[in-house]
Amino acid sequence: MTTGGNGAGRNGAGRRRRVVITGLGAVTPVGQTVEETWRSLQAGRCGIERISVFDASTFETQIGGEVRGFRFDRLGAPAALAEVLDRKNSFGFAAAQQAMVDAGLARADAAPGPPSEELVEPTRFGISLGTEGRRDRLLPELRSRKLAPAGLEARRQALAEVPGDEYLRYSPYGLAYLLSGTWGARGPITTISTACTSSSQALGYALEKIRYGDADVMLAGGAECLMEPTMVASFILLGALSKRNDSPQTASRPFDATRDGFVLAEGAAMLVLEDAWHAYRRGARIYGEVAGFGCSINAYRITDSPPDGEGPFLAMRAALEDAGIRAEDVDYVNAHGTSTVQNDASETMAIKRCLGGYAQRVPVSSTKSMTGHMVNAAGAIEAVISTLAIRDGYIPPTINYEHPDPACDLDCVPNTGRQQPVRTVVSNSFGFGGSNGSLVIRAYVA
Amino acid sequence: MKAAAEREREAVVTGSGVLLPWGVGPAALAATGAAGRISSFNPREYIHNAKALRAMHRGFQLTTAAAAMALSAAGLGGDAEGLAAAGLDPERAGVVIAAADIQPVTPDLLAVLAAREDRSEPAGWGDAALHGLHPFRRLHLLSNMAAAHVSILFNFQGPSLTLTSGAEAGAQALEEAAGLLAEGRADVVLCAASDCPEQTLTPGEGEAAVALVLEARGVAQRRGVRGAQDWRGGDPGAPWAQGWPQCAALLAASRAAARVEAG
Repeated sequence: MTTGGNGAGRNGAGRRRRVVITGLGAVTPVGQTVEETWRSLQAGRCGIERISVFDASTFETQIGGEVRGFRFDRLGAPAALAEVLDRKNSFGFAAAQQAMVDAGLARADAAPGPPSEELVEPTRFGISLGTEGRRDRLLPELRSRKLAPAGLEARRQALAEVPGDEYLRYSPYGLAYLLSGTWGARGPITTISTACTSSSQALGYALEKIRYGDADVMLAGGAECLMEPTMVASFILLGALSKRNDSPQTASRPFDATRDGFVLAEGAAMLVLEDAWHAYRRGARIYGEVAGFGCSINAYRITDSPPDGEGPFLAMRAALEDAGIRAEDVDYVNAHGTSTVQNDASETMAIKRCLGGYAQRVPVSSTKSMTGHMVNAAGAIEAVISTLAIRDGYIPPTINYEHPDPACDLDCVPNTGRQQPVRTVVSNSFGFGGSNGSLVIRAYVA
Repeated sequence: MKAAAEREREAVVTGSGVLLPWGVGPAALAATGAAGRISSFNPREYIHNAKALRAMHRGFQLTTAAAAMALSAAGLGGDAEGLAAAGLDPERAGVVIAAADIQPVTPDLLAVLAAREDRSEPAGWGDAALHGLHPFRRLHLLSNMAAAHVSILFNFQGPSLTLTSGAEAGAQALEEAAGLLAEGRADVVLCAASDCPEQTLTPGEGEAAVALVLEARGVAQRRGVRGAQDWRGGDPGAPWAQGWPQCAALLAASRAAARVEAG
């Protein structure tokens, strides 16, 4: 249970504390660190190739954004952990370690472990993750149990015998508990599963916990791995994925008139969020401020985006209100921009409704053109990218943009990034089931 | 003493819906019985949209049924018009769900695997999967589907969150729902959970679903709700709640709101 509980601190009676970003971590298809990922995005490099982790040759979609050559054994984590972690949780563990080191809460040359209590009081240190339950372990699980070709009941029974600790590891909340144990975080621990919006909401949740005094430091983000045959098949069945198997590098093409679906990607991203005063007192480097968050749900259809952009618009409007900013304050929108026909048109409508006439003057790019769609981790990696855009005064491009679509007529920063001052970014995430989340990240001015 | 504005935004319960193995509705909260399946559950009694029903697995059906009961009890029920008919703004109506983990080994997947000699090797597996798997497989596995269905069926468009934090999720969901009201981001929040183990039940395990309609006290008063209840002080750790890890906190809150004595 959290201190403060039951939302008691949220009624405006107390002070709203400001929340800053002090650490970043990322493992993506275009880089296994934050800086490597950022250099790739600046160079317009795409991380999408033919799927290699399983034989996808009979699948309608055979491409994805994989994290290639990932080496968990280099992280200094206990060897036993490597044995039991699946890909998703390995990425999450690695990104969390990067973020903790980056925030000055851990040493790069030491094994992962709790920071000293002078840096952060354990009960004031929490974890907020956006992720889902086990995925890529499913088929190996069936394989390793050498199941007889018997009937369904025998297989069902065999899977029911998965031991308890294993269940914990592959449950949605397994990673949060692992990170809590590893880093000694004993404050609010939560896991959120809202499809493509999960980790955006995890950051929103962390923002609340710090803002209203339930925690001083939150490790927040998401982890994802969808490179598993049953999962790829289930997305194909929904007709959601690009089929450009012959041209993986140009398959993710948000806002382009010839876009034909998104491209699944894997990886993780983590941020250390911190009470601004707490960060100042320990002399932490401050990247920027999480100034606002808004969310909504579509009440439209399960997988279709609302043509009028209503739900996404409500989330964006709530985020701007929460941050206390106007449309004219927004320097850059890091779009959800999945490269599906529906999303990109719906999002364009939402941005126009939220920013009004100013929408035509705001750069709106989708970095999914390079990373692919990291689904549960998408909100977190795009929050990292938005933070770096502020740090370096650089707006990353939407690559693969060739054919204008009248339904997507905003400035999508086609093909080449731009060096220009960025003080305020809106980062959008919209998911299946109609879950929408928008974050406002700003340069921090004390 | 609390400021008047603060008290206006405080969460009160204006309706609840409960499905337990031995009965449904407020009476079931006060009764006791044996854990197990809710064998009498007929989702069509609560969910009138046949297409929506097909896209839901049982856990979502139970959650949505509890939500329908709670909304009716709060006078907001029936359909997508309920909120507006009561003078509430759908854009300020939130949905917060505590969701259980979903077992991905479904009968359709098992059938696909059983039909293949090499069973688990994905090579050459694409076609078989596409013909054998349920077309909505991805949606059956998404934790936020209960929120999605509630949102669509009852026109809730405000803030929404689905928590999958295990046994903590129920308490966190209540806290978040109350926080959204306190902060003024929503006027009404539907908060729900279900337990629906998919494997053979072990003794003491069972199904349950529970939903609470929480409203800001001032909002409930202005629309003339009588009998809005405080819901704090229940004990989710009580022995009676142990078979339902997702529902325990919400069941305790429902009992507190209904003034059911500890037992």
